[in-house]
Parts: sequence; structure tokens; C-alpha cells
Amino acid sequence: MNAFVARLLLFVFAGLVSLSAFAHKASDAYVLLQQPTALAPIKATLAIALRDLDGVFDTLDANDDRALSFAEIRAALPEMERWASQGVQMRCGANSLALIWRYEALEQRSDGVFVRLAASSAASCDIRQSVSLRYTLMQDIDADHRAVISWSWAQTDTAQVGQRQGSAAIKPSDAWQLLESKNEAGTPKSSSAVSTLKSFVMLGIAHIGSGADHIAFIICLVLTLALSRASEWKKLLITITAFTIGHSITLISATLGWVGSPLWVEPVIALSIAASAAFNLIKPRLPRLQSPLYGAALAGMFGMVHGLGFSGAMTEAQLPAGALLWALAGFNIGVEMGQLLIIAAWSLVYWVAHRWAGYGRWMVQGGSVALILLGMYWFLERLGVLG
Amino acid sequence: MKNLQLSLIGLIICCSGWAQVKELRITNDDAVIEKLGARVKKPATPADLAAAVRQAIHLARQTADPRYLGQAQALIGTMWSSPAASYEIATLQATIEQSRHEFAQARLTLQSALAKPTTSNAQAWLTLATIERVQGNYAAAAKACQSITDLQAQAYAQACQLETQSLLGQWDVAREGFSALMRALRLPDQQAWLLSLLAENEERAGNADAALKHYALSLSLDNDGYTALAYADALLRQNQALLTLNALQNQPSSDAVLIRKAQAYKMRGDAKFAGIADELNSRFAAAALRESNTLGHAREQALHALYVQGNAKVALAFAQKNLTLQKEPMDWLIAVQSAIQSGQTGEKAKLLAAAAQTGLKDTRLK
Repeated sequence: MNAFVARLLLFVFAGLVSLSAFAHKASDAYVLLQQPTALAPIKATLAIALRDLDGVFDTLDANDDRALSFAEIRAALPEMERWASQGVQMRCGANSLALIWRYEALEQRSDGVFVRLAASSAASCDIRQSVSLRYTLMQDIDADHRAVISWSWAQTDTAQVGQRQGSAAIKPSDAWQLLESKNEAGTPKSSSAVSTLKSFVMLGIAHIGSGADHIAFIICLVLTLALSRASEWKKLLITITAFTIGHSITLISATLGWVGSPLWVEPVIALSIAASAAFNLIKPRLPRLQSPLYGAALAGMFGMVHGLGFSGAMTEAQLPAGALLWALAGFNIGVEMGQLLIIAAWSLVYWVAHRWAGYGRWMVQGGSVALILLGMYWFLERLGVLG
Repeated sequence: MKNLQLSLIGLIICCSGWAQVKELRITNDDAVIEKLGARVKKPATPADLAAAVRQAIHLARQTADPRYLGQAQALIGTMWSSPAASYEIATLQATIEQSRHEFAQARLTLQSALAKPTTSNAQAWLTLATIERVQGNYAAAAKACQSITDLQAQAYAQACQLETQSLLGQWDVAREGFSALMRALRLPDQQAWLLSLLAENEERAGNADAALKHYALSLSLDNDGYTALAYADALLRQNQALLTLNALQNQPSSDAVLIRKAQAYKMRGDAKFAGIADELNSRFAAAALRESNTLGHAREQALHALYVQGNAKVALAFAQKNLTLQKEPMDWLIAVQSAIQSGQTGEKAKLLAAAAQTGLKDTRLK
């Protein structure tokens, strides 16, 4: 193959590939800035990948075997510390804060092993003034390098308790860069567990509130209850508890990866609406079905299927490993709250409409027929028979 | 609603990224802490620059490690987007941009490259044709292929044209053309490349068995990463989980490779699925920390949602986002599959119509 064709071929090949950008991941360093109490000095850590350091220090892999031993890394640490100290500088208002970096630990991240350095400025920092960073590491070595900066400032305002947090990914530059978060929370966050809980509660409510199928199913469960009588509220409690237990079991199992979310889930959710509505029509004619346990069994069984449906929203949220329990608890609470809101809304409808003579015929029976039709329509649509 | 959910996801990923760090306690001096990839030779003279950049791009492709692309750009340094850059350097820049899915920028860079003096402009036209094909602009792709005047590159110009024709549904023409080229270009990697084009042609034509044979033969001649992924996708469509795992055995563990492995393990009910799913989840969380614009990663995000998380609704949202950037058959297939699995038949019909609008013909799209 002549040189031209060889060169061309490389390119034809390179061109064909849609090289998955960020296949492993481009080069990142992680900077964490923390201020434990207001006006205190700032503590900083910098984590940088050994693979990046290999590009900076030709002598890091001293024996050139393309494997870094602990001894090789330790030998290069003084040089790395000097390099970091001239490459990461911080300013609080007009005051420069000298950061002297010292080796702290090695850490495993999804993208390889990183060296973590730590520094603490002697001077205090008033974060009401602007905080800026001058980050020049890796500038000439990797154009895709970014410093992912996360910060957590103590609130100076006595009326507010807790930390103010933010993060940003910045490009190395000789210029001073102001730390402004793309997603800094205006309100203080007391802990990430609580914020996880909150955001998943919202996700849970949003999920059930935006799913017409879940709403329709809950209406099916409560449609026949005569809520003006106290005994009926007990039935309501039993039914809803059964539904909750059912969907909690599968939601938790699916989130923890014990069970998958098979293809039949969405059609069966549709079917569950038709089946429960049909049960509502049949029940008054068969005395044996009067026990609330039948309704509860149905609610529990179909609850398990709906739980698998809910789990979709959970898995899409790529659960934080450390806060998994909080996320699960939050999402489940959110789903419960959404469910209670639907029941409350239905109770209002009932309260207004139940005195009407045609209520039983038109609302309960007619509504059940409508729900059967709706459930069947969704079922066929989800099977791909319609549309 | 979708936006709210996606932004919530973003928030959660962002705030959980720090959790995925494990401190290592090492006492043994000889312990190997990290394996390093090949080093890009630093150019000694400006004349060596193009060779070094080419080596970096080659390594990025071979190892699926995008760090090499950042290094390639740093090597180009001040010549990046500079009017003073040569045709060769500008074309290399466009290749880097294309690899990062920065197609609009790559197109501009290629236009500037094509205005520069050179003995052969075949490479710039070929790269431009690839970008146009990836984005579903088949007329523009055909025009770029036709613009190659270099006689030495005629075989590549023909392949370029045939590939576009194949996408437009002229499968018989493409099959004959590729077969003729295989008689002319006899080197193993040339044969492997043409076989992979033939395989893709057969897949679109609906001859899955022939496609699988071509892919397997191609990979036996050259274990190319792109072909291995295409082969894995074809096998997954035939529910051949074990063969999929074998096909990906010697591939670097890119996100794309891991996602297919996860799907194959899931199909087999293999417990290894959980481990790969965890790895992918933490990788996606880490990637989300640096990316302000995740468009370049949307195809993998869609596949991740579809295969790993089993969430077709989210997969469809990512797949549709991805389609604003790239429109290869694969991209349409992911979107259509997500629409089918999430029961959104209306969306599916819209997708099929939009695919047909580009002129793309593919029997798998139905």
C-alpha cells in the first residue's frame, strides 16, 4: 500500500466511525472547595488523573513500562505538588489566597485512579465577595481538560442556616474565572440526603400526576365507595393500603435491580383499569364478592404491576448510590402523596354529586363502562394494534 | 414534563457524582496503581506535527479513549482554526471535531481546508461526505463524493458514492459496486472495510443472515471497533446474546461497548448485568458533571436508558434529542424501538415519516 493510500485509509476509517465522544470520558480534574464556618479559611482538594499526570511529567513512568507503581507515584509527588501550586490559585474579593497543595490520597473514580492533593489557605474568606479561581493545569497538554469545581460555603447571613452549594466545569485559562454555578441553589441546602428526598418526592408526585393511566386506576379503586358512610372509609383505607403495598414491593425490587421492567408492564397497566372497572360492575351482582378483601387483593395484585411502571421514573433518575434509600423513600412518599391528592379530588366530586338520583347509574356504572372502554383502548394502543 | 424530569435527573446526577469515589489504601511500593495507554510522540519539528496529530487520532479510535482527541487538539495548538493552518492540519482538525460530534464546526473547518492549496483534496471531501451522511443529507453527501477529482482516490470516491446510494435504498447497485471494489482493493484492512459496508447494505436490504456473515468475515480480517459494534447490534436484533458477547470480547470498554454487553447479559439473565449497569451508571454520572451540552452523548444515553435501565420513555426522549444531531439508520432504529417499547405508536409513525423524508430506505424501519 503506498503511503498516500495508507494515510487515506486511516482517514476513511476514522471518518466512518462516529467515535463515541466521551467514550471513556475526556480528561477531568475535580476541585472541591469547602468553608466549614462563615468567614473561615477555605479548605480545598484537587483530584487529578494519573493518566493526565503521565502527559505532564515525562518521568512519572520512570521505568517506561506503561504501568505506574506506587513507588513511581510517590517519587513524583513533590514535583506534582509544585505543579499544582502554580496552576491553581484562588482569590476572595481582592485578596489572593495562597494555596499550597500537599498529597493526601489516591482515589479510584469511574475514570481511573486519581491523585488527591489538599490545600488550605491561611487567610479567611468572606464569600459575600466574589470568589474566583485561576486554573491553568493541563492547558497545553489536553484541550478537552476541564476542572469540575464544586463548592460549599457557610452562610454568613445569620438568618440562614446551612451551606450554599454550587458547581461548575471550567476550562483552563490564564484568566481569573469567577465561580458562578450553572445550578447553584439560591436557598440553603442542609444536606444532600434531604435534597435527594425532596427532589424524589417531587418526582413521585409528578410521575403519578402526569400518568393518566395511574389516575384512572385509582379512580377505579374508589369509584364504588359511598364515602358518606364511615364504614366505606375503612374499605378505602384497606384498598389503598393494598395498592400501596403492591406497588412498593415491585418499585423497590425494580429500583434495586432485583426484577426488570418487562415489556408487558404498560399494556397490563391498561388492562388493570379495564379489569378493575369490570369488577366494579360485577361486584354488586355477586354477594360473595362483597368482602373488601377481594377488592384489596385486586388492588394489591395490580399495584405490583403499576409499581413496575413507576420504577421507570426511578431508574431514569440514575440513582445516587449513597442516597438510594432517601431516593426510594422520597419517590414512594411522592407517589403516596399524589395518590392521596387524587383521592381527595375524587372525594370532592363525590361530595358534590352523590345526592344526585342518577349518581349510581351514571357516575358509578356509566363511569365503570367508560373506564373499561378507556382501559381497553389503551391496552390495544400499547400492544401496537391501534394507531 | 419531560424537561422537568430530565432536569431533575441532571440535578440528581450532578449532586451524586462525588459519592462515587473510593479512597485507595496502598502500602506496597510495587503495587501497580494504574495502567497507562500509549504515549503520543511529541513532534520535534513543525513538519512532524501532522504525524503526531494523526497518531493521536488513531489512538483515540483504537482505544476509544477521548483523551487522545484533547491531546491532538493541544498538539495543533495555535494552528487550531487559524487561517495559517495548512490543508492537512485543517483536515485533521475537522476529523477531531467530527469525532466529537461537532458536525457544524467540522463542516466549516472542511470548507476552509478545501480553499487551501493541496495536491489532493480527497480526504476533506470524504470526511465532509461522511458528515453529510451521518446527518441524513444524502444529496450533499453525493455531491461531496462526486467532488473528489484525485485519480488515486477513485476507489474511495466510488465507495463513498455507493454508501450513499445504499442508504437511499439502491441496495443491488451498492452490493455489486462493493463487490467490484473488493476485487480491486485486496489488502486485508481494505477488504475488512468493504465487507463492513456490504454488511450494512445487507442489513438495510433485510438480509440479516448475509449481513452477519459479512460482519464476521470483516472482523476476522480486522478487529475494528466500529464494525464490532455494528455486528453486536445486528446480533442483538437477532437475540444472539452469546455471539454478541464474543464479538465484543476484545474491544476496549467504551460506554458503547459496555451498553451492548449489558443488554446481552440481561438477555441471558446473567448476573454480570448488575456490575456493568453500576459501572455505566457511575460513568454517566461522571460525564454529566463536565458536560454542559450532552447532545454528543445522547445516542449512548438513549441506549443506556433502553437497554440498561429498561426505560423506553426516557430512551425515546434522548433518542429524539440525538436525532437533531445525527440521523444514521442506527439512530432512527433506537428511536423507533423506544417508541414501540413505550407504547407510543403516534411517535413511532412520526419517526418513520421523518426518516422517509430524508430519503433513507431501511427495511428494519417499520
